[in-house]
Amino acid sequence: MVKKTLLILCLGLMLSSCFAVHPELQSAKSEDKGAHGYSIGVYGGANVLVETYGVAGVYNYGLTDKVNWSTDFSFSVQVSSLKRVFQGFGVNQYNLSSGPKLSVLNNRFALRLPATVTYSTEEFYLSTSPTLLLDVIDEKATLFLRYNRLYERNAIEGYSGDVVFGFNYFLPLKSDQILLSIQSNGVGLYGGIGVTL
Amino acid sequence: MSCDRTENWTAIDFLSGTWEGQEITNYIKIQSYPGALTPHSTDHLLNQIDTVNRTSTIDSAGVVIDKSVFVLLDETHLSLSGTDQTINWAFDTDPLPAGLEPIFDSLRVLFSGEQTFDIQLLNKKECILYFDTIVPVYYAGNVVNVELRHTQYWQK
Repeated sequence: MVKKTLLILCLGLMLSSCFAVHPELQSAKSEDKGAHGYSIGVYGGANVLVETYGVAGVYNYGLTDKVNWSTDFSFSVQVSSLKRVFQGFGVNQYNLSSGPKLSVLNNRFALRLPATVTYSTEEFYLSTSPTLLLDVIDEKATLFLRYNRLYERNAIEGYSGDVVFGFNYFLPLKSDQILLSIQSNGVGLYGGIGVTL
Repeated sequence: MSCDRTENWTAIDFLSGTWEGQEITNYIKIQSYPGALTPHSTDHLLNQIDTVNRTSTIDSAGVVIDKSVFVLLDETHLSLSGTDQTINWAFDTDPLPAGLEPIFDSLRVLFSGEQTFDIQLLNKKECILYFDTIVPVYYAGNVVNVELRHTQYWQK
């Protein structure tokens, strides 16, 4: 039984390389109480196996000046090339995360604790995605680290999930509303562009 | 060929001829893990479908690399009897780690046997064949079920 679990774990880690690699389209700063904030963006990238293209968005609502309810979604396609996306090929993946976001240290550091549901190839995956956000360079950029941990309903005990780390840079255009994002899960590199509304 | 009237054609009529490879994707999934898609280009392949002798001959750069027989079960299902060579062009093992060798060993048996494909798309210019199956992978006396979703995309 232990050998079998180790084999599943080993093979699973080698294969699960494109799970929830969407960008964080936000900074550490929380919206003021009662305020709304939106961002949308597109992203793409590749690992050694496959390319990924997607759209993503995030919505924040200010519960207090320091605590937001933060919800993000993404839709992505794993495919061999962008051309194949438009021909209807590829494996689709949908992610929806929602949960509180707490901002501290003068809004320069934030912790998100969302629950995440992912749908892909006729199967749902439940996970939690604690995320750290740190604003740097006079709030012109944000570093983020997201740990996507599958819940225990997953048959494989001990699987610790995927880590995604990245960097947002808010371009000095349109009141800093346009951001560039680069992120990686260690086996692939992904980038995107977004706009905050 | 472009003047052929195809209103009364059936699957066997559309299948007949030489198909140019476009892409093959293999999606591998282990139990509750998100799977991995491994697409590879097959634009160097030609597939000569002989509907009289019911053979499929795979040609790569002028060299015949595989030949199998097929049975058209109905208008949407095709059964192909593969050979030991089939996995070499139907599955790209290069980008995957050596640790997956137990999967490949099991896949080799699968591809060299009889496999029923769904004909997902078949017309005068395009053909998409698909099958999915659970592959038991044997390792250290244990069995792990690996799901394989295999898609072949051909064009004329």
